[in-house]
Amino acid sequence: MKIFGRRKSEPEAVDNAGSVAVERRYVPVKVKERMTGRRDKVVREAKEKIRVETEKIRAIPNNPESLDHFLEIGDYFGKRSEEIIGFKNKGGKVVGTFCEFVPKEIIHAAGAIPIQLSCGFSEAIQPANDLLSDAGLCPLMRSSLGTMMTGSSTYYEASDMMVNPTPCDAKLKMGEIIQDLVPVVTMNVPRIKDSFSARKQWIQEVWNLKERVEELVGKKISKKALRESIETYQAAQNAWRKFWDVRKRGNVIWGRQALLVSWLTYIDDIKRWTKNINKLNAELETRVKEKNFVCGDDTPRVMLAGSPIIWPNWKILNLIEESGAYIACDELCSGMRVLWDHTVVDEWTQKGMMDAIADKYFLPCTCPCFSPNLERETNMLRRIKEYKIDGVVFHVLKGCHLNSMDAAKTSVFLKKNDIPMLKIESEYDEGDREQLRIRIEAFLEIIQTRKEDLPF
Amino acid sequence: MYVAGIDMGAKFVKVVILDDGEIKGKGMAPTGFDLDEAANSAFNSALENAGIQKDDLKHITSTGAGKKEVDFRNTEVTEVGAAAKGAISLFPGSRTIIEVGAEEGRALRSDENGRVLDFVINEKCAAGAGAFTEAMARALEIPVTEMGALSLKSAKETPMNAQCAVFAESEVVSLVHSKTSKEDIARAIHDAIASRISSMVRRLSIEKDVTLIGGLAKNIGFVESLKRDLNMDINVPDDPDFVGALGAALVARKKAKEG
Repeated sequence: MKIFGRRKSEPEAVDNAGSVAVERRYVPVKVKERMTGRRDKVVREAKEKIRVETEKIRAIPNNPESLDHFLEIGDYFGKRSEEIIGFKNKGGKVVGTFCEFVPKEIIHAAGAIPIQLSCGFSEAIQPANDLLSDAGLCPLMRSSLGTMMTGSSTYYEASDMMVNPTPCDAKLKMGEIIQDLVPVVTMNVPRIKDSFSARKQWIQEVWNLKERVEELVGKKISKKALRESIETYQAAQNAWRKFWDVRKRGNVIWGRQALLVSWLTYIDDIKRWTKNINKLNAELETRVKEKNFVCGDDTPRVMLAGSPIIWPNWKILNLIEESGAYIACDELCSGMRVLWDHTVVDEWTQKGMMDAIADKYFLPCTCPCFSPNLERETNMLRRIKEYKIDGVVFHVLKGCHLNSMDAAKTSVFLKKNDIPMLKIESEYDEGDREQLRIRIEAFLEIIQTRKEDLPF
Repeated sequence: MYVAGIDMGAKFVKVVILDDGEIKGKGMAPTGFDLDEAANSAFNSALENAGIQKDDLKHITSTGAGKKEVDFRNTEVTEVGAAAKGAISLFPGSRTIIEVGAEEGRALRSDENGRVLDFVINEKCAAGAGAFTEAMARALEIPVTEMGALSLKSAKETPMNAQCAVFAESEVVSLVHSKTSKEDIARAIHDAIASRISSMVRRLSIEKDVTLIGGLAKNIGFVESLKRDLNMDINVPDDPDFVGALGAALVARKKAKEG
């Protein structure tokens, strides 16, 4: 099976004089060759990690039956990989996405498969460190880069193109580095949301993506196809809102299960995902009626905020819920946010649809890359109320400066609203597990003693 | 009614036995590799000290990094919760409690009932903790117990970056090479730890009174540096390293009363 031969890269870049080729700086082919020996180790350990975390979820008592599908798709080296290989062998195009910002409707409308590349493999960090020798970069970036350099993921290897929005410095520069491995569409995310030009610029970026995707598949996206794609995603968005409505009405599914379901919106076929979450919703609905809850009313209710949590790197979720709390909601781009906002089309013209898509990914987004970012505060406070949150855990991947600074701001407004907040910083590896546990346990103790009437 | 608190610290296990709020016995043992043995040895010496048998105890509460390793515990409490309760029982006016142990520095805000309101813990690095002083004492080739008194002899501020124990050791070497006296270096070391700890406390916002507990509170040089840095007086109990165990014992007393 030879589907992953070296793809034709883009034409060599030329300087302004128009003649001298710019030298390839970061990942010459040789580096990738040198890395191939390390692929086995990364793959082996990633497979083991997925197996262990899947088992952990399966071992949770009272597991919903409909979760099985998601656990199956959660195996990055299993069914979904095979599907993607099969699709490519039939001439299909795969577009890697790198962020919540990527308008997947457009890729889907072109008949290509959008698949998320942001990576949770802890073992892939070392190869990236060898290249960057920089501990200041967040583990998500290092892991993604390492996975790409070592060729350890089918999704990366299969991508014919990668869409890289640039909300932060790490993503911006990573796009440059990987240009030597795969053609990259860089999307310039305007970060001052309320400036005059921001929305206009973003809409232009989305049009540009459409053109690049059309070039890749070799045909124009028809109005009909775009509408169908938008409607497919709207169905998914509706199902997702339903899921969170059910969660609001009873403790029917753990946060560490809910976050797996949300992450897989980026991985699974979106129609199949929707079908399966509708099944799950029905099952959970029955649970609410039968008062079949996974934990009692007295369980501390935590909201998880901050940097994304990427499967199978489930350390933070496990620590919080194993320490006796229930993650009742979150505000992560890998969590509730994935399909929360609706694509609202006023007029089903091409322009109307493109505007709607662009707006959905931009205006309501609460990524910390934006300033000002009042949406994030409003959103958090609303969810704290709706999901009866006792405390917020603000998780920062070490090196994610935007979230780290937003954490400082968040702690101030939460204090004003009398909501306790814990900021934790973590890496992907297991080295900080016990330090994190101490903090999380102490935080839950604060939440619980707040409820106690007895003075000590 | 006898109860016990056992604090499984990173370097030492501390045990306090209470009889209706009065301290009846104490015990201590180095943690080492065998946690069971360390726990038992500290526990037995506390029993002996109190002149009672294990069966006389109504409730045992554990705390510290190894709190789950104590097989004979009835309940456990986090380090932060234990520190607050222990410190408030000794200095009821404390609202900010700073604890510097071997591996970790912590600061917390508490109400008058020993209820924790907020806390911070230093990140992975050792430069805000007791282990750092030990490493520095080795670099200066003096016993760690003499560090405090030695640093008090210095009247000079020597800037030191001290982000990490290993790099700090090389900083000490360069100070030695530039003929800085041992007194000044010892003070520089305490100032560096104090400044890291106090910046952590400020993140929490300081409310008086401030109480310092944990093993490093025994180092008078560090206490002076911290007072200078925070620009305020600080309560230091007689046995600062036993406060966590005391807090755990107080939790045990409450649990025993509740039945």
